[in-house]
Amino acid sequence: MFCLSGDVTRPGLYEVRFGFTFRHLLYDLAGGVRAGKRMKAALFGGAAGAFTTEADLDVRLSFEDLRAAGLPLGSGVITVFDENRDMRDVLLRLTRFFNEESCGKCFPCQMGTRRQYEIMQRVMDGIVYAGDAASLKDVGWTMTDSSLCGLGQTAASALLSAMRLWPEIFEPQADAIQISPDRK
Amino acid sequence: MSQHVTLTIDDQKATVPAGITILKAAQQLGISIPTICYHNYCTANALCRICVVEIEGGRVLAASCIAQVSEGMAVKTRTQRVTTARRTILEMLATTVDLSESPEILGYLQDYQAKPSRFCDAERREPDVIDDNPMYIRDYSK
Repeated sequence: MFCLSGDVTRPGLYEVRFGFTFRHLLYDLAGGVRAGKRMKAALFGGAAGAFTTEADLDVRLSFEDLRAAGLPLGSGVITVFDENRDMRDVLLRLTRFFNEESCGKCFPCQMGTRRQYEIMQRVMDGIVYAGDAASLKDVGWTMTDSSLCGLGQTAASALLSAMRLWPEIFEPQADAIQISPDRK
Repeated sequence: MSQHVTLTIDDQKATVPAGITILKAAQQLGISIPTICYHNYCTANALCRICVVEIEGGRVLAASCIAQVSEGMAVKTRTQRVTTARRTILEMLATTVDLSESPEILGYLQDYQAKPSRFCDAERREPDVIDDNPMYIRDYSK
C-alpha cells in the first residue's frame, strides 16, 4: 500500500504490487502532478525519509530496489512537490515537526532538532551564513549517529538529502536579501 | 559460559569480567571516555550520549556507559564519527545552558576544540530556579 500525497491529481492510498515504477504509480495511476505541473521533488518515507527528483521516476517500488537507489520507503508514504514549491518552506515545516516531536531525553536530539529548526528559520528569512551548511551537517550526523532512538536517528534525514540536492539553499548571502522562491 | 570476555579497545586487547560496560572496560585499560550524565553510584541511563564509541559492525554509535562488552568486540573510542558527535553535543550544550560552574565540561570543550559560537541563533534555556525544599536548590539553566 502506497500513500501518495502532495501536488498529485488523485492523492490517496494505492495498493500496487512491489516492482512497479514510481512513474507508473504517479502518472498512470494517480493522474500525474496536479494541474499539469512538473515535479520538483518527492519525499519518500515521510518526515523521516529523504528527497529525490525526477531522476528517480523509473525506480522500481520495492524495498530492495529503493535501498539500491539510496532511498527509504518507511511505511510507503510518498509526497510530491511541484515546481512552484519553495523547498525551504518544506524544510522549515519538517524541522519544526522534529523540534516539537523530540521527547527531550537524549542530548543530541533534544538540542539538535532545536538547532536545526533555528537555522532553518533564519534561512527562511533569507539570511544564510557561511557556516550554516557545515553546522547542519554536523548536527545532522551527530543526531543520526548518537541519538537514543529512531526519531533522533532520522530527524536529519530529509534535510541532509535536501542539502545534497539543492546546495544553493544554503549558499551564504553577503547581506540579508530575500532569496527568490523561483528555483529550478 | 565463561566469566570473562576478551575484546579490543583502541587496538588494545583486554580480558574483563563478562557483563561490565565498555566504559568500565576502557577504564581498566587506562582509556578515558568523557561522561556528563554518568555517575558511579547511579544507574546509567545513557542520555547525554557524550560517552558514545564506535563498535565495529555497528550501525550507530553506542553509549559506552550502558553497552556491555561481548566476546571479540572491537571498539574504537576516538574515531571521526565519535569526535564529531562529542564536539557537536558539547557545542549545542554550551549554547543551551550555563556551563560556568562545570569545570569538567569546560575542559571537554577544550579537548574537543568545540566552537559554540557557531550556533548564533541558539535560544538559551533559562527556567526559574526551583527552591522548594530545605535540602537542595534546582537550577536547570546550568
